[in-house]
Amino acid sequence: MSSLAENLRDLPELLSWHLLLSLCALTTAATLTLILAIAADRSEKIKRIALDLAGTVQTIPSLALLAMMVPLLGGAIGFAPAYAALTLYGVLPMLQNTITGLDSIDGSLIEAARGLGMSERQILRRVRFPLAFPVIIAGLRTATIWVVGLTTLATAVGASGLGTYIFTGLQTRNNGMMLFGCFFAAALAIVLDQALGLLERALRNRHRGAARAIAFWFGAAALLAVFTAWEPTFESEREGPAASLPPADESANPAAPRRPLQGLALTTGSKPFIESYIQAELLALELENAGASVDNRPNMGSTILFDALRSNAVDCYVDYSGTIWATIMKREEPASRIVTLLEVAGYLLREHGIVTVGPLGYQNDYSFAMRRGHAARLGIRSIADLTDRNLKIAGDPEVFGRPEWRRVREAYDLESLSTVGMQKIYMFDAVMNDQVDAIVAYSTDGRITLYDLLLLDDPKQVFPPYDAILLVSPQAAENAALIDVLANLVNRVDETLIRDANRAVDVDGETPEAAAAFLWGQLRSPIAPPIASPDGGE
Amino acid sequence: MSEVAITGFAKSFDGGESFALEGIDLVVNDGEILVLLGSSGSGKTTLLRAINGLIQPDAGRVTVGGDDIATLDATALRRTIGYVIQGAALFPHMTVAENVGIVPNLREWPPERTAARVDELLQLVQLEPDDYRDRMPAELSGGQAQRVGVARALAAEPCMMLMDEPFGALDPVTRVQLQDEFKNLQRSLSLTTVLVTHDMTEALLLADRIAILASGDVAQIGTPAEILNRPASAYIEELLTTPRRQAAELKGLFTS
Ligand SMILES: Nc1ncnc2c1ncn2[C@@H]1O[C@H](COP(=O)(O)OP(=O)(O)OP(=O)(O)O)[C@@H](O)[C@H]1O
Ligand SMILES: [Mg+2]
Repeated sequence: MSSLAENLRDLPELLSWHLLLSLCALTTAATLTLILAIAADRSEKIKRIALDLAGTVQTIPSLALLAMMVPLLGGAIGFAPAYAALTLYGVLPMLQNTITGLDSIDGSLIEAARGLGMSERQILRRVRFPLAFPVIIAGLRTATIWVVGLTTLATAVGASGLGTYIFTGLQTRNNGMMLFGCFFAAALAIVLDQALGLLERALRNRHRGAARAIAFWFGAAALLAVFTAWEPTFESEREGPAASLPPADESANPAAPRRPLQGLALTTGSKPFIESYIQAELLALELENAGASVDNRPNMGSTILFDALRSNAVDCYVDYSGTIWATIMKREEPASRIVTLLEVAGYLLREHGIVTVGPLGYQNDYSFAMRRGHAARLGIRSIADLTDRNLKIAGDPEVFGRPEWRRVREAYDLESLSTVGMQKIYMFDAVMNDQVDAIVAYSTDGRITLYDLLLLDDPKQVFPPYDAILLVSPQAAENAALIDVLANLVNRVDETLIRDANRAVDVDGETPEAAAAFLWGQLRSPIAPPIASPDGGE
Repeated sequence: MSEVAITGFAKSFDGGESFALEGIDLVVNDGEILVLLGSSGSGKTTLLRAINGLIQPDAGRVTVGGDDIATLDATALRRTIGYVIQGAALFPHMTVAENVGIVPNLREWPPERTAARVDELLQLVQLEPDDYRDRMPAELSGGQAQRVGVARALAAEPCMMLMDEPFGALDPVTRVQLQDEFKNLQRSLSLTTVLVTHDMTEALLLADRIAILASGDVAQIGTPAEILNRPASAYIEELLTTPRRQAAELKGLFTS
């Protein structure tokens, strides 16, 4: 079980990154706001355009805005795209309040200022800004709460932060972990908001000392965050020079045959679901065993992770052949397992320079799953039996937006089914409690065997096969030693193994790390991997 | 440069459909107090604001010290003209001392000189400096705020004063005291002053000359004695009834 102690271990680093990302975005947004507000004050047209633009940014769903930043920044992941998106998000509440504040100053005071001989610039600086200050700070406080909250989503573009607890906790049914993340994100927002409130009061009441003290604490917290956030990096850099030779030559060095990747720093990533976490941890174990240091970015958006690989921001990760086939290659028709694999590998290399090291050895297909008794009562055995039935089907929200779903619906005439989007972790409860009749599950989900669900046949073979495939970025692929190391994982994991690993996390509350270690241990044993006990766990 | 000449002045606030003021010719002599008198909405404030360039005339011109103000640097001009705004209009985020020190500050006086001047003026308007210096405007009564407004206008030793109902919100005793103080100061500096009021008694007591505005025009201009003895219209006659009746009643009370 991942305990409070384990959560606490990562807290300094994740909290620091969260604080840094929020503060950087907020200060940039505040600076931008100031410039825009001054420009807007000179021209009604600029004012309208600035407010319209900021308003438009607000209407973009936050996750989409984050995702958009990745290709806009040339495939960069992590801090940069998150910072850019959060900054844009922070501008609107600040700009609105600043402009409203500046415009709502009593006309007689401006008249007085002018009559006493202040220039327009002096009026802005000495009269309008100070008088609008409480309204401006109110905007800053709103923006702070938004931005600190939204920073939890930044994990989707590979940025570290408290969102890691929330997403991973949610996906692995670890409520303690999720609440831990929520608690600290909320606490951070409240503390920053209150501190700004105090700062505003101190400035308004001219308690210079108090204002300076608060500003000092802001600075100190930011500085502490910088050091805490960067410490792991310092450590790995300290280890770095210990590697005697550059990694490419390392493999040829007979003195270190067992650590061919010594000194190499690699980045991998995962999408927000259990199996993906396990895959990333498995890669990390194999690579670290070969001497590399691995930076794992969990919970990234599906296409964001692919874009990051394409642009060398991520070195390797595991995706599925069917996902690439349908969402990246936009192929409509399904093909056989081997054809899909070959075509996907060929396409990735040709179009993106991405190297497919090989399949891990199992498929994780979309499947319709039902309770056996319920299916028998309704006389359902295959997807074809669902045609024109008035049934309720649940799946994760992404599924119903995918081209595969459109095709399956057309191929089997499933227009009469009503769909319910829900997080994967709730689907099984929903089908077991008869809240829905069927779910779109993944064939390697540990809960299928746990609940003894029936997987419906797909006689028309509409769903493409989803082989887990190990992908390496164009740049990383130039390192033959890396490919050699990763090849150790090819064709070594079968459905039973991955299902047990999934179940260990999903049902038994193990961490993905522990499940990956179990899996990796199985692969390393020279004898064929024994099938783990149905109880899972260790 | 303190002589003001307004010639052929007209101002419309609705793009020329109607005129708040039209065809105004008015001269303010060096060192005199000219009182602008008229009922509410007669254009007193508008005319005052034309003198320091806060509003641009639609016709005619305004000269100060012989220069057309349209050709002068407006902010520099305003820093040499003390302006008491109707209703005080103190800056709520500044202390009394900061409010009074604004123009010296804008003219980059050394801080010690400004501080000394602030105290001197607070004394003049009968606000004990040690007590009032650091107060915020919200902590003042209406009359106190008005007095700070007068001090603010006088702070940078202006060569001319524009005062828009500066003594309106004061009790009779303080009002008379301040009027006297101001009149003495004005005399000793021979400070050219345009003072707006709708109180005929105040006008008669303070003015060297009175200009009466009615329906967008100057109805009569002259010394208090001239106005009292030869009111030019029935309207002005009516304006005089109140002070006359008051004077008569008071006289009766004193003699009885
Ligand atoms: N900025 C403005 N926009 C539109 N109309 C204005 C403006 N300023 C003044 N006016 C109009 O011009 C006329 C003269 O106004 P002004 O403020 O000069 O009157 P006043 O004599 O000072 O009155 P009061 O004794 O009430 O202060 C009024 O009818 C007023 O409504
Ligand atoms: Mg007025």
